[in-house]
Amino acid sequence: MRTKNTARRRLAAIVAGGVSLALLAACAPTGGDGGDSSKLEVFSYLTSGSEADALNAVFDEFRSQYPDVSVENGAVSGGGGSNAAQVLQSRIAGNDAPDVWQAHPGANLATYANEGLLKDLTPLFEEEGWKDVYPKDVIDSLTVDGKIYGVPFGINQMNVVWWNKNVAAKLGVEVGDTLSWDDFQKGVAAAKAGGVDPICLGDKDPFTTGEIVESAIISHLGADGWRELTSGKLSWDDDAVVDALKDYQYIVDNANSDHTALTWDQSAGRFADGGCLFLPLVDSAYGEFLKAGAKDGTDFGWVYYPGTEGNILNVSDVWVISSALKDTTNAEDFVKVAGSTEVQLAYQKIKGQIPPRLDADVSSLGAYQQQFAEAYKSAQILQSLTFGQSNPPAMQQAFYDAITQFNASGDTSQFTASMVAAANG
Amino acid sequence: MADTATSLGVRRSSIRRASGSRLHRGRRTLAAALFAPTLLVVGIFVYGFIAFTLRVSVSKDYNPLNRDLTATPGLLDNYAELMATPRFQASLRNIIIFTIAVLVVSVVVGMVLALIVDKTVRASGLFRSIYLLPYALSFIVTGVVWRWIFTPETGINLLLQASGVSGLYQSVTGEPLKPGWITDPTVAGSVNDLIAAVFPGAADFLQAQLGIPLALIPVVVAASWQLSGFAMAMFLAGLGGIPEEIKEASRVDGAGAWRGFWNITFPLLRPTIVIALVLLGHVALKSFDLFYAMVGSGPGFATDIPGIFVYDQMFRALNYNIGAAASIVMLVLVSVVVVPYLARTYAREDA
Amino acid sequence: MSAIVTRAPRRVGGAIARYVILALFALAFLLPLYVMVTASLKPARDAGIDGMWLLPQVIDFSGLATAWERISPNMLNSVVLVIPATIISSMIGSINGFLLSKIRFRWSNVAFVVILVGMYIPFQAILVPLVQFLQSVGLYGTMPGLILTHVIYGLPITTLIFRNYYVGIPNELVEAASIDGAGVVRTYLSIFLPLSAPGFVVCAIFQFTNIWNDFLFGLVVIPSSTLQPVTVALNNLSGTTSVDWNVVMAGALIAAVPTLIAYIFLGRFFVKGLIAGSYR
Repeated sequence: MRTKNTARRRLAAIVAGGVSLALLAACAPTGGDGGDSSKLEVFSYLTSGSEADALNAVFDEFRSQYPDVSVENGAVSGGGGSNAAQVLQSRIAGNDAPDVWQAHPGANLATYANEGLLKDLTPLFEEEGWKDVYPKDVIDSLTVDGKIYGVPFGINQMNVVWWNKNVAAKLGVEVGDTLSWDDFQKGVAAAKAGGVDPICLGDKDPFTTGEIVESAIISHLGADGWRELTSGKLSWDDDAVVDALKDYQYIVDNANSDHTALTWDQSAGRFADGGCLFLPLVDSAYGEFLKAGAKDGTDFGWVYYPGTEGNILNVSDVWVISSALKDTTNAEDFVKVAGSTEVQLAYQKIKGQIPPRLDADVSSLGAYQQQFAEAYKSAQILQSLTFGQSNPPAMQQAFYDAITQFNASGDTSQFTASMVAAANG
Repeated sequence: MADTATSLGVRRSSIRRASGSRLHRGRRTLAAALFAPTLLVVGIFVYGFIAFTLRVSVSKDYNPLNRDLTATPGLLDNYAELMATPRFQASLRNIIIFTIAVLVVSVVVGMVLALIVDKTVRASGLFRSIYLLPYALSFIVTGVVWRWIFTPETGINLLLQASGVSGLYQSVTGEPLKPGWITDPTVAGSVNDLIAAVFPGAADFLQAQLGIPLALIPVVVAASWQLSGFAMAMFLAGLGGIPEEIKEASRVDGAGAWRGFWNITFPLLRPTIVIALVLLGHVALKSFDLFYAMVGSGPGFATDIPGIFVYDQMFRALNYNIGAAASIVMLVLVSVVVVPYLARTYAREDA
Repeated sequence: MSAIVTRAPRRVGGAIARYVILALFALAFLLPLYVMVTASLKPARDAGIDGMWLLPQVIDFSGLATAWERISPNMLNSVVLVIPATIISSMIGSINGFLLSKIRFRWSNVAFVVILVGMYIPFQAILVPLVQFLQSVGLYGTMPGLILTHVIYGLPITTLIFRNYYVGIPNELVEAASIDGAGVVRTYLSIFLPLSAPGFVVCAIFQFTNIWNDFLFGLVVIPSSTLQPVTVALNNLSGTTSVDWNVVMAGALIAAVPTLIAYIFLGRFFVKGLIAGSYR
């Protein structure tokens, strides 16, 4: 009898506690208001470490210039912004788009712009004189039907091969300012002979292999060929694609055997620790090297992926403004701050990319960043399929899936057939 | 105890006679009325949204940005496209194998642990907490730890070496023991050739290898690690419902511990097994976080599952139609298995 | 007497065997925890996949400190979410389970199977209508909206748990109560609720853990980062282009603490023979 009463009394206490908490929650202040003129919500996928610090530097500057506006940092993480994508899409469907959000230029930005979700920023660009401070390729990637929709704040290059100078010295391998495919193969052979993994790779998330396939295709087709391929003028069953897949296969075959289990940052860490000679990886790796204690210029160097010199395959970040916003003053003030040379520089000092503006003085940035900034002035800026900048998301996903399939089967005709189907569908 | 039983027996017969009376009907109406709110909210939040998903699954180009619900020319066009996708075939194969394996492992481990913990006098609370511990951790992070553990170069293979297991294996078989774990794209025991021999037509449709992807095994281990403790908790509650006298009898009846368990305890645990299968099956079938953090789609889609497929199709590819169709296919497949099972269970209860 | 004498050594042997099995399982269960704990105590550059089995060379609390700073503001949100959602969904589940197993009404089995089967839709598929619906009733972006969502999607499971639990309790108890003149409500409150502790334990463990660890609904239903549950903050510890594993592992451990406290608290309800005791 005692057990029964205690149990009942305990349950009653729990229920009472729970109900009062529910009432408390119901009275708690609620979010989700749109038209408040003193507020600004900025949605991004910059949540952690240096990326978050860099974003905060932008917010700090904005707050100091506009102290009356309270900025809400709505950051959601996810490789390639995929968690962010589901939040953004659901919110847009629920008529609750953020005021300002992070996007990639090209097809990604166009996906929103085509549905009328973005504010036309052409007047702002004219007012600020911004049309002349970015390379033409970049302005083109921000433009849909003659209107500009995004303000760039960061750019990465993806067709980069990093090489570990300590490992190279041990193996007697020399790498100059550029690397030919033959020399790359010689380096691989030397590493094999020396008992070191020739190449580090971490493709648990498929974007790392996507960018290698893209780089390989560009090395066979050149910049114009890549543009034709991604715009549908050239078919995906072209011989150059098949040749590129063979190069890609060669890279995978000479990579660490556990590559499918590693994430990109782990492969970068292993490279920095001397685990291999080469690392073909987007330059987000740069920050990982510094974190691992490696020194730019003495411990590691970089070259463009063999045969892609003069081209920058890019993944970039831009801010866009919601067209649903009635009063865009705060949002425009924010992108003006974020788009200024000073803030772009302050951001990149922390983030490790380069300012997309050509008129920024990069002498205070790291050695790699300065070299990249120099190349950026004259290179062809190519849009990446891996990050959905060259083609709409369905094609991007088809590319990932085709690579995953190819990784298991090694069947080039299956790859080209599914890409042709995706391009037609 | 004995008194109550007899008096209850008498009362039951009088109730039987009175059943169908006005009183009884009133109780049933009240019960139905009390249950109605649940039906209503589930009707909206589950079936209303499923209806929407169904609508999206037959539309041509819907996504949340355009909200365009124009239908496809043929009613089932998206479904036809979906079923012919090698990746979706692989993900269905994987989720079926994964769910069955996880259910078997966690129910068996959970029951064994519960039986031992229930008998144990000292420190049972400590062990119970240790086994439940994994269930408390966010799958987003434990998935990462399990990926590290099953990465061949860094993880469990090093432990196998250090403990001498690898050396022993090599001296016995002459081959080095170096499993690829999650990096292994092998699909073992593929029956595609067999199917092709018997049904030549089906072979063209089958684009994925029907067999057991080896890379799935580490994920089964990780999921079972996480769920066995909860299965144990369910069985402990089930054992708690069995009167001590009966448990004592099952131990003392001299027929041996195993027969005592099999003849007395096990039948009484049957409702718990049903619930464990449905609950854990629910968790396993809807897995997402663990796969996402641990392996993604895996080599050659060896660890792709419908949850990941739907996620990629909807949010990354903006192919909401295909993602919705895949969700509906999942739902139909589950209904085909779960409904007859539940129906049979309840028929037996009623009898 | 003789039976006891012959059985005694076997009991001792059995007890040792039991503890050995329990200890081996405990070791296996704790192995991944070892990796997490050691990683959380290493400096950022050592905490990673290489050297994952090694003990930290120096104990570094910066991971724990950073994780705490980043996720503690969201812990309270999760508490405010999970306690009412767990209790409400368990209570309703208990009532539903009672109605379905002991009173039965026309189509009750069918109704139950219907609410259960719908749960197997992947939640990713219903996010858009969910947001749209909550928006239309003014609950989008609010904690009550998130609580409601979790309660509703928890109901089929909590109903299932209690329905099956009550099936094991003799029908005679209901019939006896009804002869005594007790109505449906009083039968439930005075007889079944007090017998429900083990059912509530399982149900509460399941709901508490699921809701606490849920990421998807918290992320999508509440856009405001100050109101989001801890899992969203935890997920944000790994950035899009930058991950410090010591912080992530420390965050996962910190975020699990309330769940563990809940288990220990609930574990006290695992009283052996509770039901048998209350029959008397």
